[in-house]
Amino acid sequence: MVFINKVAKEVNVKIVYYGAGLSGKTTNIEYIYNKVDPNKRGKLISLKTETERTLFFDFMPVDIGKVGDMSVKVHLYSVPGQVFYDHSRKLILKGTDGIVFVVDAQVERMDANVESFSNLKKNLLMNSILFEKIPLVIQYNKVDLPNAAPVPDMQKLFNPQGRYPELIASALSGEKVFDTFKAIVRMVIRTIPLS
Amino acid sequence: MQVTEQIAAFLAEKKKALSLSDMIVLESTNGFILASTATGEAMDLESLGSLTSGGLTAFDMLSTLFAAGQISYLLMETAEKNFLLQRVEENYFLLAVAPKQVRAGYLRLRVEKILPDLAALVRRFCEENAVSIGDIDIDEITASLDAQFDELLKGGDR
Repeated sequence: MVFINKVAKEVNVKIVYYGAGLSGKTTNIEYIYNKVDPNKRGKLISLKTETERTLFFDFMPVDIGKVGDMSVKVHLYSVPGQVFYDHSRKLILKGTDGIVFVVDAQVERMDANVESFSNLKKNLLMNSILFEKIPLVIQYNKVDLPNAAPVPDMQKLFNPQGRYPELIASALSGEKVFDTFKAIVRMVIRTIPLS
Repeated sequence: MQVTEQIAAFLAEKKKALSLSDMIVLESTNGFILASTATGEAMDLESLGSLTSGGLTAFDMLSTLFAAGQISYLLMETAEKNFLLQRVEENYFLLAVAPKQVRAGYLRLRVEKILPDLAALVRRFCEENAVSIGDIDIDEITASLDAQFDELLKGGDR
């Protein structure tokens, strides 16, 4: 739910990076953290396990600045991708305004991606959020790896009708990471009247 | 006085009157801060917002697993301070932080007394901020987003 403070002229939105374990959600947020002007972002909070896997969430606030008459602030979250953290994913989705679904392009991870996509739909529903209404951007990550699946094959699985903006990315090198961020922010802002 | 200013003034007054809390923060369950009495520059309110809302939501989920209903408040005792997370309305809660010598139960009782007035202010805030989309020029916002995106990257990689 977009949080609007009309007096302070502030629009606050929550965007969640979702996807299978090790798909690159945290890498996306870390890249944005390193690239954005430090004066325009807050701390990066990562609640991790001892093995550096996301335990609860990553969080980073970004101050987009004054757009039109309003000041726009974006709160970026990522969920833990590992299957057994389903309750955590569910609660992090609460009140989300937009989703970036990060697909791990490696062929051997395709089943995990499909399961995660299905899990996203289920957890949105559990939060009374309609999958068909929520702004969604799909990022095909790790496409630079030799074992990456062909993009058209992934499109058949995740975006067969071409309904969602999609980006072909490499989060580790930063390729299309910021474009993904821009795409989801634009979508969320445009859909405020629907939220 | 606008309602957000009234809420901020209310919290400041109560913090002083109760002589209890180091800090009082009112925030949404999504972690967006509505008002705070925090004055220290070291306090990172956005981090605080995400962590407290995450914690409250996690315990809400735990409560759901036990079919125990919605959490009304959470008390935490640490070596140096006591923390109270008090639900104010459905989607808002108050974080009060008090020194250790203020006992947690006492903190809870004192905060409970200010709840009806605070809840009324929050309801007013919700009513006044119910999005009437006609008030926001979405096209203007969208048009100027790109310029702001460019600005975001200046000064990165530092």
